[in-house]
Amino acid sequence: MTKYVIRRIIQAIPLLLIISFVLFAFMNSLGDPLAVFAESRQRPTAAQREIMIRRMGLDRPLLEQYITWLIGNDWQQVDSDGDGVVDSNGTRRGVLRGDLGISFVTRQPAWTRIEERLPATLLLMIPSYLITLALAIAIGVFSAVRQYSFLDNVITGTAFFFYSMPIFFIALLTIYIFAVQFTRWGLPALPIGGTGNGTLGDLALHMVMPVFCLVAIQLAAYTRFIRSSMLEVLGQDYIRTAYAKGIASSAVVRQHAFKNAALPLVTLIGLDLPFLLAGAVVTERIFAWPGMGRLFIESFERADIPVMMTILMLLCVLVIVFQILTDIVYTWLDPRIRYS
Amino acid sequence: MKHRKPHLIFALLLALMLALAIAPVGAQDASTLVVGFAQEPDSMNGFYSSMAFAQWANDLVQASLWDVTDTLESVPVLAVEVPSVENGGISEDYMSYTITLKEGLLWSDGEPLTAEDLVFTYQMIEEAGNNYIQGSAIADALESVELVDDLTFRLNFNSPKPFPEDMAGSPGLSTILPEHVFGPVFEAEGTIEFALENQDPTVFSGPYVLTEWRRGEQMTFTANPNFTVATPSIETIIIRFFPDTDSQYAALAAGQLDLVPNVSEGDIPRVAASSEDIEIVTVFGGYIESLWLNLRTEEHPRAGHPALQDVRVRQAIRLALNRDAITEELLVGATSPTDSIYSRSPFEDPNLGVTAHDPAAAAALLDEAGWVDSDGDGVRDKDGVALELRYSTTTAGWRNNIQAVVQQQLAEVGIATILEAYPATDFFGTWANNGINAVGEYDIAQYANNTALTNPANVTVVEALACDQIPSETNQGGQNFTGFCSEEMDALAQVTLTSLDPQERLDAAYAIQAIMAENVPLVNLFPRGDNYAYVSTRFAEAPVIGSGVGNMWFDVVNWQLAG
Repeated sequence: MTKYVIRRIIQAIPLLLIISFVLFAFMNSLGDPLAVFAESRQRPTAAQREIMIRRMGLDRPLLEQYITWLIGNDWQQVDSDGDGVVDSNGTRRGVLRGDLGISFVTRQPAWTRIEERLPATLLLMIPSYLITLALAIAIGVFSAVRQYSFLDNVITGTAFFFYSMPIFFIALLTIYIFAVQFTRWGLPALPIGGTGNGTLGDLALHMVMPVFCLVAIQLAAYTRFIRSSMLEVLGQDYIRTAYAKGIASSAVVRQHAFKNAALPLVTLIGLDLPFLLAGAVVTERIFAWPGMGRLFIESFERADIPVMMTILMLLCVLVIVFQILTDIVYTWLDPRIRYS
Repeated sequence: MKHRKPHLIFALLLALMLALAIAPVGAQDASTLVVGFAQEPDSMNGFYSSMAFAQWANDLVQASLWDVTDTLESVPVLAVEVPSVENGGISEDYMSYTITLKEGLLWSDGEPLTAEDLVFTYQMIEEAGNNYIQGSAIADALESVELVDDLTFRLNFNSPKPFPEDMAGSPGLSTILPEHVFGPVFEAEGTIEFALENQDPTVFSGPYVLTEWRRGEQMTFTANPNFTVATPSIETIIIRFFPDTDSQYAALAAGQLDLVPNVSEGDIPRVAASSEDIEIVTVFGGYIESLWLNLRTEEHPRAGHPALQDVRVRQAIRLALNRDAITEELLVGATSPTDSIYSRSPFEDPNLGVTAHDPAAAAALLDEAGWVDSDGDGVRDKDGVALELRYSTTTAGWRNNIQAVVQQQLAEVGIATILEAYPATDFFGTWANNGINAVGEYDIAQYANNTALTNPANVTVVEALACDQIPSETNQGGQNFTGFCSEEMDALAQVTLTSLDPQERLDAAYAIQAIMAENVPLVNLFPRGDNYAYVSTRFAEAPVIGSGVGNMWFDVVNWQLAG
């Protein structure tokens, strides 16, 4: 098993290098970090724009930019003032030595910008994911056990109703009803935007609408997945045997059926967990939630390559780590599985 | 059944707690003003940002020597008076300014704010290692800065500088740096580019201090007890960041925001209709939305459509446009058409007028220029070339709505358009990045440019229409994307920049407007105001809001919230 894990980690290295280069090339073709100044009130001059381009390293060929991003340039002489003569050592240490670059927008280290957004991201994503899972398991199991019953149809129908709606529509509709209309009707309205005044109660209130929206759009897919997985298991011989032995129905469902049906769910969760860190782009934007999804979009709009690269590479690494973890959890859940 | 009871009780308790916790969130307390910003400032050092929202946040905490009011008058803040030749602050030859600070000024940390801080600020502008993105006009002009005494400093220039607001007041010098904070950083690092104070400022000169900045979420400002110029009556101002305008306007309608700057003209009707308590104020914005025509020829990466070389075609495009329909129907009359690049500024030629919508005259001009519909397909052509223009702009919704209307209006006179919308990072990208404007991948480009504020040296004329600014392989940073070149206009632009005679400058501005009206390098659509929406019931009386070009908060110390 240890050998297997080590092999997987070693395999991941070239994969990450290839991904990082492709992403870097892609990010560099997305747009121009200086475009933001075009309609600004006091535009930087051509000379200042040149300084900025040089400072961001954008005057260098793509491959050189990538190598600087990866291993830094403090080991070589660079032309710091643009006079065509190399004059001093570079200042970048490169991603492999923990230097993720400086944000083009705020001139802070890229990691600082991500650190600022991580807590709020997790605060939104983890509860909504847990609620989604809990509800999906409850509804999925119920729907499988009571397949085609009236309640199964109602619940599945409702879940798909939300699933088929775009998130921005649910989000704006929720705001319109619970914030705007409630205020007009003189009812206690829910707050829009941000995480509140720092108290737990206020935070909970600010979370109600975004969490509801995230759960609403995710629930159907998970419910459907669990329902079909359960249905497959419930049709197995050993379930019939369990019933025949006179075991209580709830015990059959919980202990015999669900445990086996949950195995594919582990794969799904393993794939989803890294993306909790990515945040929810649209939801965060509409509810002005200070999360990673918004940071990514804001960085995209300003072509802030170091920040975008850090977010994307963080996700790549996490996806690989969680894949390996999922495989390990599999062996624990199903002792028949062995890796060689 | 026995398991369900505790669950039920728990659920009831939770519901009760939630019900108790929910307070009417719309009601803010009388000492706090909540403002919604669409973007988060990228730096709190004005020299490192070109972002309007960053400037607006900065203006709340960093006082200027003098401010520009909503009516474009200069009022002293930290300076005793606005320098002029009459009061002796400006030398007769406009080569030096002597400015005196008010007595007893303090930084928010209690340190005295003196002329030494101003001298330090100017020295930092001159330091190339700081990599500023603002202040280059000052750096280029400044010969030396002298400390006269504790309260007085003198600026000496290398050429006459008739516009003090560009060199010392707002908006030219909107930030004054505390030497006792930045000085040690500069000594240690040789640059203040990465000073923590830029991102997490602690020392302020303005009416408010930034007490908390929750990234991505909000900034909290409280009244600065050491601001000796005036005492603000609003104790706390919170700026919340709402990147989505729909939810921002919803928060305003729900009373969770009190003031929103930067409401686009296209959004005014729905914002105004969302609550009867919402008032809209429009002040001078300094931007003119225009259709820029690509007159570049084949020697450039992409030439504009050959028809645009003919001034009659350009004039026909202007005649074909019903700009009143655009401003009345799409922008609910929030603004009105203009032909002047100086629109709404003191330098607009009142006799210039606005070209009326006249499709018949447009058609006649096109016929005269030889562009006729020879094959009956509804699109004019000449020598086998169809009069089909690529019409590009950004992905902003209100601009795309205008595109659709313009397309229809031009089609009525036989001009076809292909509509294109690009993300701003592509549209405004540089030459090296194949920016749409920079390399001329358009025939008509719609965007805004600055007009003049307090002097007629108009950046559009000086930079975006100057002969030496046409981009090319050897001039990749050029900003004249139209390719228009008039040596006469360039000479007049120099007069607006350097003449010491106000009347001569004004005459030059009028002459520039006449040249542009005749030659049509661009078709001006309308001036864009700075539109502010506020909840009137939250204020004791209507707040006086400044122009975004100057300082929207210039009168904030006098704003009062309703008790």
